[in-house]
Amino acid sequence: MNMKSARRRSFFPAIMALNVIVGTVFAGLAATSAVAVEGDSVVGSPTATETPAPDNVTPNPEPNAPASAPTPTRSGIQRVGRSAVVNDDGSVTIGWDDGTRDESDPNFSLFQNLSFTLSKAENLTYEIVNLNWEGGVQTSPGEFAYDYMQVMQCWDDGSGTADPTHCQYGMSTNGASQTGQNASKRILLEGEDYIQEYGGKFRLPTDPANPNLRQFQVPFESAGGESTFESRRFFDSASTNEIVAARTEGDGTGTVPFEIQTSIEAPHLGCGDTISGGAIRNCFLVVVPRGEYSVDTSAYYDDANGRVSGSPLSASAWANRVEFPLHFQSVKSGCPIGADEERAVGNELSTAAFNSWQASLCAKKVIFGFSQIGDSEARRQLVSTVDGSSRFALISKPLSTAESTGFTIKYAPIVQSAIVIAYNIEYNVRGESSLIEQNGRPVTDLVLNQRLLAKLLTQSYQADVADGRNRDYLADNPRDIAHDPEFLALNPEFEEFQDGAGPTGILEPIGNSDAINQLWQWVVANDDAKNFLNGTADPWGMVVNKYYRDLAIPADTGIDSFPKADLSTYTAPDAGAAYGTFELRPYVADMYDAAVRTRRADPGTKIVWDQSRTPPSFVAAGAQLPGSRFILSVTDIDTATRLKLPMARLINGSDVAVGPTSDSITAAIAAFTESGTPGVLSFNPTIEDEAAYPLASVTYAAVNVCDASTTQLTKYAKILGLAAASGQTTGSERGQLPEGYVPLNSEQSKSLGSLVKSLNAEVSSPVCASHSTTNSTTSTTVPTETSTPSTTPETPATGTALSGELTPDPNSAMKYALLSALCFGVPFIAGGRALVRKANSING
Amino acid sequence: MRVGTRPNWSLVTTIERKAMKISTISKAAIALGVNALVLGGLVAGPAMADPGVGVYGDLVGTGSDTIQDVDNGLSTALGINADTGNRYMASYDAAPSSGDGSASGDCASGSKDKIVTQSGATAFVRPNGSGNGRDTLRAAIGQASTASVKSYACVLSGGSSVTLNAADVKGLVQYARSSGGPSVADTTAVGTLTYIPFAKDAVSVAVSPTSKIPALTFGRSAVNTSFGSVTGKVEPTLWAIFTCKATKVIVPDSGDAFLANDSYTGPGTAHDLHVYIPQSGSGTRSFWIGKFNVTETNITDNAANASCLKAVISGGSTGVQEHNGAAVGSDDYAIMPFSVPQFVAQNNGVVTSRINGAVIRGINGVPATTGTGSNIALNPTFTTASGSSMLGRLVYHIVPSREADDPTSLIHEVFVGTSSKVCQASSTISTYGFARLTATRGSSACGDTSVRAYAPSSTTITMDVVNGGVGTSPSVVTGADYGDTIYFRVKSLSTNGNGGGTVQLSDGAGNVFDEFEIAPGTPPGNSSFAAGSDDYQYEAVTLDESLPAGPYDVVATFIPALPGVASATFANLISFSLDQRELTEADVTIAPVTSTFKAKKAGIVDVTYVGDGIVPTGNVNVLLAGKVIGHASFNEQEGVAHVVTSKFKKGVTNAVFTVQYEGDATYLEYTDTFTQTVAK
Repeated sequence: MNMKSARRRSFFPAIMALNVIVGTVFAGLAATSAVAVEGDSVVGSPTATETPAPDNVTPNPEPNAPASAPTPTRSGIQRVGRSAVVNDDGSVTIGWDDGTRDESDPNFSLFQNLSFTLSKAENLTYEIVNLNWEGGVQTSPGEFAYDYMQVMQCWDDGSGTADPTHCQYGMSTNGASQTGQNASKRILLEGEDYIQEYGGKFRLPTDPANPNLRQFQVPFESAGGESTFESRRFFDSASTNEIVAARTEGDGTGTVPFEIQTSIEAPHLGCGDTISGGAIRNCFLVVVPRGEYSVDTSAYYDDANGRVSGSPLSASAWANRVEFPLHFQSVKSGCPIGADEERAVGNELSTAAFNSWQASLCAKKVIFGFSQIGDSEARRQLVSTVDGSSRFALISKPLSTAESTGFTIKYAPIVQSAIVIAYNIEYNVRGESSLIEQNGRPVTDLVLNQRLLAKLLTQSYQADVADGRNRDYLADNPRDIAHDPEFLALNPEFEEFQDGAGPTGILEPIGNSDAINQLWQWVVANDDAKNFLNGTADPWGMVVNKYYRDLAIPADTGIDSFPKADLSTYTAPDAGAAYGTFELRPYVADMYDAAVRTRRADPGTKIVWDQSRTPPSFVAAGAQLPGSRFILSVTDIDTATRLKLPMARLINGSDVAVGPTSDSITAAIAAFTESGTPGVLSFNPTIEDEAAYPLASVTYAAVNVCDASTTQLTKYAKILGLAAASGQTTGSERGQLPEGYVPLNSEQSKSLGSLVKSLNAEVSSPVCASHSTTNSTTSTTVPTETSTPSTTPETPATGTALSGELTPDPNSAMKYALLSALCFGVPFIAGGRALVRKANSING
Repeated sequence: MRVGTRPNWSLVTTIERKAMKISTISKAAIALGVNALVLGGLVAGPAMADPGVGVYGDLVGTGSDTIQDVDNGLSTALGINADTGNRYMASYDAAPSSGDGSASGDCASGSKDKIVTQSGATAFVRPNGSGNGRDTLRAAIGQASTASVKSYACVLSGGSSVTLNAADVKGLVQYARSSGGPSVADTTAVGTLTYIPFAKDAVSVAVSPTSKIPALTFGRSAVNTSFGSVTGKVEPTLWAIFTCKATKVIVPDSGDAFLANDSYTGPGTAHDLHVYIPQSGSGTRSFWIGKFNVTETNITDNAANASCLKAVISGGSTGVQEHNGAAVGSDDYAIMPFSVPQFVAQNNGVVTSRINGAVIRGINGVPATTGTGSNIALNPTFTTASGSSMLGRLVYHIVPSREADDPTSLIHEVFVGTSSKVCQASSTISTYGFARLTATRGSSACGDTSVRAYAPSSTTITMDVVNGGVGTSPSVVTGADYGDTIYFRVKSLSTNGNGGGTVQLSDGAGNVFDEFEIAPGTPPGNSSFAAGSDDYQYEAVTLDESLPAGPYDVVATFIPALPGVASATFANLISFSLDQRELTEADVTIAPVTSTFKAKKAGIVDVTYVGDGIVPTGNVNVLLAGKVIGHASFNEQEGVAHVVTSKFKKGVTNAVFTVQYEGDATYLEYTDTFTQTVAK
């Protein structure tokens, strides 16, 4: 669809008439407010939290709080600031009725008592924030016909208020079918909204094929200045963080987690970018409450579908918004693009920590590029003779004697973290349950034991196999974990649940890692689980899926991946093709991806055949609908913490259910055993300390001393030194330790310090026979030998993308199953997150 | 916009011509098509399932069961289009009329399972249901390359779909009947299909006349399964039934029957509950399951909240057809969604009944219908009461957006706006049980065109400019001069449906100087050809006097004939410049009207362009003795500058007058003289 260049003029906003309308209404009031506040508030004073502060004052009463980002100067309206209050905990509260609202709006009385609180609005990175509100009206039952909230993120052009053309909205398919016409879209209906402009930038250009076209829409203009009616060029249903509809409970309150995106996740919003003048671009979190009247002022019950209609970006709805200014940490790392960098390789557990450290270090001109390639590949590379191999690895297990003979490898602990089972489950109890008031709210406690994990990881529930209910080898097994008496005994509240959309098995990252090996070790260390995996029925008659029994997992002590061994397929009636495990229970790209998908409740299931597509194919189910979310995943503690995901309590060696906390992780690591390699402890799957979390993990820095050049050793020493110092202080600043990790104890710190000394000593007076003179530097591009999966969402991967990790091990039948499945073009979810993370590693 | 004496190729005209083509599709536009039955006007009994043998419509529709009958009624009510001799609308039922014996045999071969929608056209499988009707239309307009369509017999026999290719159905359907709007994912303001609402439907449930299923309310997602504190007794709600929380009907020895699940162990006889939904592709199915947060993924996956939903009648392989009570009419423990207007129309004998003994239920104590016997109607309270208003929905005619937007098209006349023929036929709509749309504006108004879906399909076209025609092995030219003949060559064209289209050549500033058609059928670059020849399409353009002067950065725009296909633009095909040119005496006739050349009179001189090229524009002066005595501009249509001079003072013999044309962008100045006597 090409259009003559002349017509493109309509895209660019010539006169922002809409803003003019808003501006004139509120300008006078804002001027008054600015004067009033300037005289009142003082930054940091005890009364600061009581006095409404406009958002160009950044009160931050926390001690040791990092200096906040400089606020760009703004002209124009400060209407939002009038009723914004910063609370003691840093959250921000804004009341809807700030005296500027139009009382003749039919929704006025429904919104009058609303007050919104955002958990965090400063120093933002990619994270989850919570939006709470009170004073609302209960949402319509079942669907979102009336009285609900819509939430979106928009970039700030410095005008002081959010412009609908700058907002990431209109591409979600989650919950969109439960809302009224165009409520989930940017589409405008000519004449429906009395204060909306039609024509100008809102009118779609005509086409030579249809010169009579008269359609209207709010275009999206990126932070880079490109304007389009095809928002999907910038964001789509998989990447958007918009919330089309959030529910208000009977008591008028509501809460929803919102995924904040920086310019790395959403470059078209550019939040956190440096803009002209050196300031950091701010963004807005905009809440648009929807009442009972559509943008054309008619009541929801007069609508043919019985729902409030109209886009939240249409002027009447937009006028009712509440906007929270969002201040970001600078995304710019200070790491120059294209500069030579030192390669480091390692496991996923250390990625976030290492990225934080190396982002801080590159300001000192020592630039690292981290490749998350998994422990075994990292070990191999550490001693590889291939040119360009890294000599610096972050791994959980040391090299074996065989691997390390002839090499001088030095180790020191560098991070303590944990593998967790994160979940996103909403209460969905039966009508008669005493828990009925909880419906729709997130479950916050979950207990799992080893055998339950074994069941989840072996497709032993009927729901985890295509047409599982009709497979004879699963006939005695429960439908899913929520129907498993073993699960219900540990989680009695679930007895009250009724059937909804999930659970959808457990999201398993693809690939090999020591972390996964640790998880299996913990599972098989329990006799019940081990026997189950070997074919013994559980007390209720459930048996392991026969394809997994044949893998003899307990005997495979080196198993370090999640097999998907049941390749049964099923052709649904009317379908043109059969689906199997990889459509029903696809892999996720890594633990990070698992956590993001858990937060979004989108497992990536694609089993519905759509003949009308070109070519016909399976279509994604999309995220689970609000109200019946039920999703579990294997992920790491730092990502789960960042995304505010609850984490399951796991039964430990003393039969106590323990969740991952700093104390429980410390207790577990204290009971780790000697590995045989000096300075390196081994994961202990049978810890008896009651307080220990079973899946705690230590990652070690490993240096191949003699095969590194002295330049490299110096660089390694620098980053290890930083890791030992600021790198063990918890915080979200560059150079610190992200939340979720447990800082090293003093003994571990000493050990790390010793390694730093010893590397520096090696540089000044070498003990090694020789040092190479070549550096393993690369420029800042995505390393090609890594096993990063395809970064296009929903694109089938080819076998070659994972060649690094999947060299078949002749001793492992399970690996063959995995490899062969992948070579047949296994589709799996590779969200943009995987690439994002790698980008993080390169550019900070 | 400059145009030559060649026909005016303005865009508006082009689209008009296209619209005319589409509306006059029926090739046999002969009174032949009109037979006595239809001429008879009002139909005594139920309207026919199809227009009738030899009867065709200008606007052919297929698809939804729910509105097939009202469309048959509209087809009759709107009558014959005098311009073509066909009916305005011809609607082909989702299922053939009863008694056609099409249930047996394989899907596509049963004779009534195929339809012929134009005189002489090839029969194709009868689309059954909103989804099939929509997909057939998408293929017919080239938005999709194929449609996977199931006929009624396929639904009944559990057979598989037939693939229709766009090329096979183009032009054979013009609209689709849909009982629901587009999915959120498919909705887009640039959609090639417009969903035009024309009535309001309400969906309730149908059961057997002696059904033991208790009276129901809509309910909510959290289903009470200890209803009345009895373990396993399930609350009597639609949510409970259609999310599979209730699996049984318990008939006690005394008292009312109630719903239960497998945990119930109390007294009474337990019967399995049979929960039916229509086959996939049905708009009623997607509407209904959506109300209970059930997705097609849940159904495919046999998830716990969907595993009881059956689209095949138990005990066999007969599919559940929309608004056909066969699944429930003789089963006291069966239930299915059923459109209330459909029930009304079938019950009243307005359409052939497929009720098969079923009865329709109210919800939350509000009856679905009012009236008795064969004179019932949709209960207006049912659509507005809070316990059932969520079961209302608009029903739509889906039409190509291009036609909907074109005020001169037949589709516009029939479907668009409250004054359209369909929206004016409100009594027909009521007769078939539907509620009228009374809003005057907005997306719930009858004839509204704001709901759009399905972006155009892509077009791939390759073109160049060469110096020779077919078979001459020409070479590409990058420039040209006045007098040259250049050949615009289409080397390949790939579009769904091969509907062909028009290529417009413009000068790069929006002025079209040439236009040519690419015929439907095998496009250039795809056919076989003799040695020494080729299969490209050549358009020769001679840079002659018919083209305005000026710079040309030629842009070619392909406008497909099929409205579901995207247009495509080629920029900078070739650049050249045509200089201003001279007019010659042969081009211009100067005709003084002798009778007006008299003293005290104003003389009239007609300066006419009689050349073959582009008509000059601009001013023509007439001078006498060096003074301008009159002037006029060239009239673009006629090419005449009709100059009226000021009054002559006195007579003069053989005065020499000068005619001076000032020139324009194409023509240089031109001067000539004529001699004329001014009479006394």
